[in-house]
Amino acid sequence: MRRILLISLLTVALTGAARAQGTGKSQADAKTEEEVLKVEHEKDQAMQKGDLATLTRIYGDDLIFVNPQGRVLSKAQRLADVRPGSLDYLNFKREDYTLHVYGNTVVLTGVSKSVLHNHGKLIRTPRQFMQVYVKEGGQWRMVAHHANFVSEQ
Amino acid sequence: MRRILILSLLTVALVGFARAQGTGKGQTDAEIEKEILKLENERDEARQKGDMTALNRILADDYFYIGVRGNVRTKANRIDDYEAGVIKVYSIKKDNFLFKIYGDTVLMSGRETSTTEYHGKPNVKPRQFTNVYIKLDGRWRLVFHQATPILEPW
Repeated sequence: MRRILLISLLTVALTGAARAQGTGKSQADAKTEEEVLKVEHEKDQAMQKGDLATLTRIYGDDLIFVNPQGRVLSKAQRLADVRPGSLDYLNFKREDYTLHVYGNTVVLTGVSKSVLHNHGKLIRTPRQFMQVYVKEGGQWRMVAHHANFVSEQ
Repeated sequence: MRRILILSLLTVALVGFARAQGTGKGQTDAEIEKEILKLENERDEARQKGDMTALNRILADDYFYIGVRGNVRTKANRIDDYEAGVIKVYSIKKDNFLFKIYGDTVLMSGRETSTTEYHGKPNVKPRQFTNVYIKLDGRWRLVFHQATPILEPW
């Protein structure tokens, strides 16, 4: 009886290890994608409203934010940039999301076609962006963002 | 004797499981940064030499990148470009590194002022890059890269 129990435990442990090493999209990955997209949409709403409290919750404390000018911003600098008057959206449109899940890390990419005023400059050019989400203390937080203007190939 | 053998096997399996779920513990952040920098240097050497074996080893199977024109490309696209000779890397210079470590995930940011050529178009402009390295099956692999030309502030 004890032998059967030990063998069962061994099987469970080996199966778990194999799954953890696996790369196929599992139910867990699908659930992760759903959770991250939900946070992403909350962040988008907050950006449009200039809701700094929500952005403070979603942005990781050590955020690395690379804007399409190639400038690197900290969390504090990014929050200062999002304030109404600095960043004003005329319309908000993001699409073509792809997500790559690696356990508690997700790399999300998409295209932003939002039109906005950024420090008084009108931005219409689409931007291809990437964001890294990491689960910290049970919460998905955005720890990196990087965007490029999309130019003719 | 049999019981000891089974318990040993169970211990090995559980340790393997814990490692697969690993958080990068056991290495200090400084050690991880050093390891990533070494790998990054190997990747840069491979880019210059067109060493596909090294690139295949360092880039994860689902590696993808966003190029300076905002184009999304896969590992296969990248390897094809090197093999077709449409990418040429003449010199590589990187600095201003910034690392953020989250268990088995490392974000590496920096500035690159390399001289390269893509489809005959030279690229000498400074660009800001982000690399995402993740430990997969016990090895650090580059899963994502993005580079943005550094523009004058407006």
